Amino acid sequence: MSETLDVVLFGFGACRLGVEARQIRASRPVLTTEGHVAIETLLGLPVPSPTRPHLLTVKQADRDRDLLIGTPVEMVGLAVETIHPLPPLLAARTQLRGLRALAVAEGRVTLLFDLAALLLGANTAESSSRSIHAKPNK
Amino acid sequence: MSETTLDQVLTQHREANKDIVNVDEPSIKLVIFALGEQQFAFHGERIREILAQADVFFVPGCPVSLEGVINVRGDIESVIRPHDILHLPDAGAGRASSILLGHGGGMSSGIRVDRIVDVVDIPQSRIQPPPATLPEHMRELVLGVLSFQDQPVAVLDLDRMFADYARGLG
Repeated sequence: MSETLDVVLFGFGACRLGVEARQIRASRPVLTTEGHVAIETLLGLPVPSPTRPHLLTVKQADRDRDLLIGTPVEMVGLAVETIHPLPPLLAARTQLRGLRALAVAEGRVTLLFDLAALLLGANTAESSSRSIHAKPNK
Repeated sequence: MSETTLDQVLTQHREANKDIVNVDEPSIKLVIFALGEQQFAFHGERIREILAQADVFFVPGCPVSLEGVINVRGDIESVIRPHDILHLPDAGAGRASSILLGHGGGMSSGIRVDRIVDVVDIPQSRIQPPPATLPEHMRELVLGVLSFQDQPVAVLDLDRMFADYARGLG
């Protein structure tokens, strides 16, 4: 039996996005999208109108963080042989933050992201932003 | 009944062979292709495979010139469209289009071309240095030029093309 990587998948248009399941604590449906950061915002993608909004709770060292996704998630075991590093030209030119690998299976491509790195970058940006705003006016 | 004799046949062969001059001039293999109305070539040693058909998977968040990725017997390769880097109009993939699987500068990728013209062995002397009249954006990319079937063909530096593409050109 082939080795697998547990991945949480969700849709983005015709594409499937995935993150390692070990980085996710929970997923739950929500009625309103207000006050939540869409995962597409972190990834640098346009935010579509969610059809069935869900919140994905991401494990972090200090505190868990909720991210809005537009569709329900599914958890699958991706066979490791279907997972590939990014081709070098794609790695050089992609605008998708946190994109780490691609998986091709059943005629579909899944874009695999490193959510921890993505959130770390977002937290750093937030901290920098707070520090700048906190500077007293002279 | 034929009046031709075996001696005659063998003599004809000997006479014909007199016209064949054995030239030890080095030759190089070129993969010649068309982008629109213009013809280009890569050194054959840089092209691993020519794919007439392949399912290209779209990847969001990439420039338009990066068409997507393909699965080549279990390996994932990007597919780029070189039109922009060569400042050529891109009419999209037509029915005759193919993907060249190239490698250069430590990178590999598919390259979408509009049409494969030929794969040929050419004596090196047929390749001339790039003319001084080449547009500036082509000067670093063109290794040489030749005439093939009465058409000018620019031989491109795939190492340079990939390096330029990786740093954001095209």
